[in-house]
Amino acid sequence: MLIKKILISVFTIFAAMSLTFVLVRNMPGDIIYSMALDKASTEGIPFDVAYEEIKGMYGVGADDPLYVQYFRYVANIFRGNLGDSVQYQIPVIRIMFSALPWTLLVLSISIVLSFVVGAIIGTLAAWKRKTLLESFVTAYASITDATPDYLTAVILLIIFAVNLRLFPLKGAYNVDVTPGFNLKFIISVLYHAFLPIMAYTIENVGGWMLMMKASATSVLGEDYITAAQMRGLRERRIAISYLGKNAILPPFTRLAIAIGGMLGGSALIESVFAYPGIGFFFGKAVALRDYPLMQGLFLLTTVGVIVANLLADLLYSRLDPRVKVGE
Amino acid sequence: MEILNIEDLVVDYEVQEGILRSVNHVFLKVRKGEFMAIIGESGCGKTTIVQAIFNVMPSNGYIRQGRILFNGTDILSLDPESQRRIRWEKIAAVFQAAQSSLNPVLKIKDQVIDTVLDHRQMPRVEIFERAGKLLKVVGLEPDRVMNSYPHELSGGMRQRVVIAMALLLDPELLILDEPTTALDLITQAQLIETLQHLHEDLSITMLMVTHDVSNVAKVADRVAVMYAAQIVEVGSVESIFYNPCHPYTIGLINAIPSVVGDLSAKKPIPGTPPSLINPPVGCRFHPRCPYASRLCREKAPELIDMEPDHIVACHHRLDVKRLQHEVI
Amino acid sequence: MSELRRKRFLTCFVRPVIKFLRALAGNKKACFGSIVLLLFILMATIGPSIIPLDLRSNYLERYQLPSTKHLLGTDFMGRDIFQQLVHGSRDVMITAFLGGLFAMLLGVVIGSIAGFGSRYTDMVLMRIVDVFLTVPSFPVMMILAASFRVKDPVSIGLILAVWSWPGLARDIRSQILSLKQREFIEAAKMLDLGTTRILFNELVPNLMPYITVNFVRLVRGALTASVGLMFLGLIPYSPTNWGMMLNLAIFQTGSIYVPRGLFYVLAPMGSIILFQYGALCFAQGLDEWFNPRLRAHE
Repeated sequence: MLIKKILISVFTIFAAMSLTFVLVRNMPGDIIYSMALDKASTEGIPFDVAYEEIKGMYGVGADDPLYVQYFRYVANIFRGNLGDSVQYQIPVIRIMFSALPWTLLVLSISIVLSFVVGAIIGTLAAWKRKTLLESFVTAYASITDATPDYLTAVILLIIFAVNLRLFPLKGAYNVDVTPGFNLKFIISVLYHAFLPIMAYTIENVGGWMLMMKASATSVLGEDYITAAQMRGLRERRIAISYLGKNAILPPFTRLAIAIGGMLGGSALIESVFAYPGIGFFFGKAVALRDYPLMQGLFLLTTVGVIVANLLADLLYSRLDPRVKVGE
Repeated sequence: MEILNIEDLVVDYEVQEGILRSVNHVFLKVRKGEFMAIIGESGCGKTTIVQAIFNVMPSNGYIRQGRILFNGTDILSLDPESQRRIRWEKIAAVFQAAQSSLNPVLKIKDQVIDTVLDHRQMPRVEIFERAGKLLKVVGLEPDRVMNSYPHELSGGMRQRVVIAMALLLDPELLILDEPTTALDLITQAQLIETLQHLHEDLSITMLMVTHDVSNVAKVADRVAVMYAAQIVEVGSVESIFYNPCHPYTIGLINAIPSVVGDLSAKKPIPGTPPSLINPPVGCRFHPRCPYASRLCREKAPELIDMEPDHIVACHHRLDVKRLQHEVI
Repeated sequence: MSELRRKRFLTCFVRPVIKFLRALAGNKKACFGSIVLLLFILMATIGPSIIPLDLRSNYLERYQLPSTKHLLGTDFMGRDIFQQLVHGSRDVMITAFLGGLFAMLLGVVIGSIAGFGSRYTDMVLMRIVDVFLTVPSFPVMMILAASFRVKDPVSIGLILAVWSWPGLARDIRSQILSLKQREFIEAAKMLDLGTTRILFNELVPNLMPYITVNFVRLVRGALTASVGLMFLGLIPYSPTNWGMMLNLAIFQTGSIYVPRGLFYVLAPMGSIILFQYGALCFAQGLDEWFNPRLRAHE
């Protein structure tokens, strides 16, 4: 099973590279032209040389057989050579590394927060049946399901940033703090990340609550719950170690898919908050047809989802003793 | 002296088709130190009685009336915390489907520790020592079992673990709900032997609930026969097996297949158990009873003393008894 | 003969439709959902021909609040928001419908090929599905929208569908695999009823619930994605599209900073959420109708 997972991952990465290969090869001529123009002026080389170099780099119009071009393209990517961004005039890889931490920060906090809160509320709703909480869970999940995540972000922006002015409108930290490991910077970072995190969390927590409620309800029918009650265990312990620990397993398997969805939606949410993560730059790259940047960030997103998938699998095998690593 | 005294217990389930009365005005006494058995077909309400004793009804089950006196105090009237304290400290149980009564994501040792610590303050070393001793009693290797997850043990081993766990807190009463179902014949025999030893060595009061009449004959001192949510006959194991006075009891005993005897001698009771949503009027057994008369169709019989320590709910108990002896 | 045909027509088409409508009326959620959807469909079909669109700027009437003259107020150029909403709805609805339709067709066809095909075909297709499920769909849509510079609803629908079908394909395939095991298919084979007949008489009614419920889900996804693409400005300019209204309000004109301009954001946003909620209720109602088990659970 582990082999199957790795095979699918490798497959997926190659599929993504093939997609970007096709994309880059079909790059419109005017974009190559402007890229070459930029290269020529920044490096002080003749335009013709720069033009040929750009074409060679992306394999556009090359006479080599297709598979050779593809091989060269893939080899370039593995060497970390993704070309320069047309818009920002710096290597794509540098933009990737500067954007990645922000997306990782916001997404990791959001996913943990929404999953944990959703799991707790969902378990409670199943544990204390026929209460107000149960109707709340259903209503909340329907409403957030009906609201696209970027609209949640817009609503938060309008209320908390534009009107109440409690949170900043854009950016990842204040310009007057020095980046580094100091309290001022960390506070500024969290302050700026707050609304994006809330947007993801508010949007995703409903689904987790619903999933967890369904899972916990079915676990409640299991013999070992009745057995635990008969053994006179304390309610808290039953709810956490017996109900919660088992009920969390099925929702946990959906974690990887959720992370994929969140990464996919980051272009919209990060754009709303002008938050300089992968999605924000990706949105810009696509809108401005900055092909090198587009392909770099797209590959990064794909690799990110795959890594998240493998991590979720690894964690799952630690949560469920019946599953060996990679199964 | 009764350790457990169930008085006029009524339990209903609310199901889609209506109200299913699973336990209908049941009276039952278990004496200190004895091995009592409740027998009856599946679905007759035996397990519901066990659930009511622990007050752990499924969400659609309701205890409508009755008292469950344990050493004279009504368990059902106690506050939740006191009820929780009685569970396992005083009354422990080996459940039906003990196979699945262990938490799959916790090691056996963690489940043992949970169980002890929620009732007593005890250092871990002592808990391990005690659990180890009990696991040996039920014939298991303590070290291996304690460090295993439930799925790493066989069905028979899990059953033994559950029995050992039931003895952790020295309960006064041990309830066994179909302890042998889902086990193969050899394991069943071993288990019954273990239970018998426990009963004799530790002098624990046992209440076994089962449909397996042959096991009851082996281990029980007294037997209660249950049919369609009601108790129909209670007596010593001898009087139930040699001198049954309820036609249903006779049917149950005759239905035991005998290894030595002719297979055709096995006589299943004709018909099927009645619906508990719309039970028959009068005696609930009358549609299947060869002795049924108009009286049986109109009036439900009460439990009446036949002889000392032997009660029966049948209008024709005397005829049944006489005929039974003539046949033999 | 014609009498028989009429009867057949009745049993095949008219009765199920009547049954369906009755069930809809009996289910509160489905009832609410279908009314909402119907309103949106009316808005998109006959709305633009009833309500005129006037896109001329009128700076004297900038950011008007709702009134009898301007039902939802006016935007940053003094244009009527309600008119824009109605005229934008046609593109939004058609795009979402086509996106859902194409994705459904892809899902059904690929799922059926996998379900009925050889083990090898099935394996290859399922690996492909895995890949499609792993790579997030929205970035792919963004790239495709930018690369092909699409403009017409059909090609936008195609772009929306390209990465949305795998979930349904997987469902359809596992349904077919489990239906294949069932007795009635075996019996039909034994009676030599012919493959097409088995397909249409037995499988289609069994798969319909999945297909319809998933179709609604896919339309919802397509609407969210298409408005999202427009919101980021990745689909060529079309000023009344709801996504473009949001884009203008938030990224370009700063209407969100003007308290009186709030309606320009709220109108498309509210419409999207209302549509999504209606479709969600409709799908849930359908699901309950198709799976009586869910109904009993309530």
